[in-house]
Amino acid sequence: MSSALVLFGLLILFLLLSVPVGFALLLSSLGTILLTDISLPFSLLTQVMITANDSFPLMAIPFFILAGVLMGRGGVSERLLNIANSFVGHYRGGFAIAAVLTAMFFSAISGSGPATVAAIGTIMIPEMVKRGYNKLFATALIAAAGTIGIVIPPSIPLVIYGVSSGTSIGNLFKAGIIPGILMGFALMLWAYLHARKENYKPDPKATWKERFEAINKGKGAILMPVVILGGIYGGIFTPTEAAVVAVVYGLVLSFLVYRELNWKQTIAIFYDSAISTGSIMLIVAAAAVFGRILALEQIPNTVAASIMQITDNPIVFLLLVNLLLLVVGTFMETIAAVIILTPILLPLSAQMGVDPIHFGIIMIVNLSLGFITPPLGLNLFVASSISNIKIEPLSKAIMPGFLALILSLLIITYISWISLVLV
Amino acid sequence: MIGQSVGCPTLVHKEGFLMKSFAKVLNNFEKTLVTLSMFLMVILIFLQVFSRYVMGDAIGWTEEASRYLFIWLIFLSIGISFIEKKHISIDIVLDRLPLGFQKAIQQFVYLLLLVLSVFLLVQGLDLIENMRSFNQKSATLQIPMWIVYSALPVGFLFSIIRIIQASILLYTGKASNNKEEDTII
Repeated sequence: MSSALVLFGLLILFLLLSVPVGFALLLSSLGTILLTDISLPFSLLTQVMITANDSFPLMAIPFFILAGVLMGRGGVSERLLNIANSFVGHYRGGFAIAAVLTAMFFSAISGSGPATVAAIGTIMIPEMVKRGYNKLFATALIAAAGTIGIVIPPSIPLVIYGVSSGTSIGNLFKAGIIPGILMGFALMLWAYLHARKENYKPDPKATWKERFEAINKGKGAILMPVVILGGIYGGIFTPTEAAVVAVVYGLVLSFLVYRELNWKQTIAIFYDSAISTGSIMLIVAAAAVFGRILALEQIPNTVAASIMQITDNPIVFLLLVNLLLLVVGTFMETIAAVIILTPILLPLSAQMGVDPIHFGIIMIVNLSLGFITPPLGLNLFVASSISNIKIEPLSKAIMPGFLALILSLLIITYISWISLVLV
Repeated sequence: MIGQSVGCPTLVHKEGFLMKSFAKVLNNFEKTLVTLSMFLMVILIFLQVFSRYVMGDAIGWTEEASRYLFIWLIFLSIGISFIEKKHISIDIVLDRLPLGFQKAIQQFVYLLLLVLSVFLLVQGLDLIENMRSFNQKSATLQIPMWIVYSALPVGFLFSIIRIIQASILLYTGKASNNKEEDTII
């Protein structure tokens, strides 16, 4: 157990020194091997770094990143927003509700929360302010809506969970749909109540003709999730193949249909996505090494035993797991957290009779909340840089949204039907 | 820059030029390879789907080939990510420190990363040596596995070069400042 202290102590130290997450995991693993009596051959270390990434399912990640960026730059966000607003714009707080709906749509295209915030925030926040919404509220709402990005499929953390837990990524994707919609509804409720309090004026009601026009303009964007999910659902493609089809679809759409991309931009997008992939997969490789040392030290068993000592009641257990994950999500990078925690928590949850797919959704929803809690809330950073608002006031403004999402988290945790009905 | 070239203009200019063109070749080397890998991966896997459904006969080797491209892409992007500021790090403590202190810590971190990269380069070369002696080959394409695993030492070799470059940029101050934008994905 003392070596566990060294391991985590070093990790925290390196992270605070702003060592990149992947390198911090590697350095703390190596430091622990050198400082304690753990014996792990160095050749195993390098080998694990490669084998951790030698996986076809993991390759869904670069392509979902690529597809998301392609769609985001191809003018999709405006089109989606227009569709959503033509349907709900005339309700009180309708435009804010439309913004959440657009975030949900976009989540079905992109696999990353911060990317969702970036893609929709740059358009939505100024538009909301134009309609008289408070800028702080608009920014907080978009940051909160970004959490849905990793719950509604596709989702990069769900791919990672699927690979580390050995569960079907396709089933995890299906299981994320209704929880993501639930989170969206919770945020819409917040938007509605806020708009009623502040007495915002809604837009005039759109006619059906206008609605059809909006749908027609955005049909390419709406079809994308149909292609991805339909393909996986129908057993036509694996998630990785679906991601590639989405990339090709996005290329065709922005190249030939919308004509909003040229070759130079396309190459830049491919390059950007490639190195973003690299920085994520380095964390995957390093977290695998870190996990090896944890396993060698039997830390998963120790943690399991001590949790079992506290409770053997599944309801209390799930509450404890939620608390643990919320805290971890606040301080740790999501992907590393999934790789390190899955082998620790999954066997325990299986013992408690929790379905592994349902457990994956619980874990991802928890960690998604970590994106809007300081100090490490990436969605907050992205949103604050879009609207030039400081993190402190933003963190306060987002509290009602956070509570709404916590409420949906509890519902998702204790009613497994919500996750499992589509699987 | 202009001030420096007063003493011996031609020599400084030439050295600067050589350094620049070296950096340019290096930049484009990794950039070209990772971008190309990404394109190839898309093409290969699309071909896999296409061959299965349209031609009715699935190509068997595309999965393996794309997986190995993926491994090379990952390790080749480690170095360049230092320059592009794509590595994900937690800067909340660092950002609150005085500027001089920030630089000192970053320099120290680069030193740590340099040592780690050298270590991994050496270990990676060892691993390849081992693999070569076993002469292990991939399942479908019969590629010698040491070629796949070479991604690791090559990647950390570039990482060493880029860390040195990034430490120099700390003082010349030409590193890009759009960190917020870069952490998006």
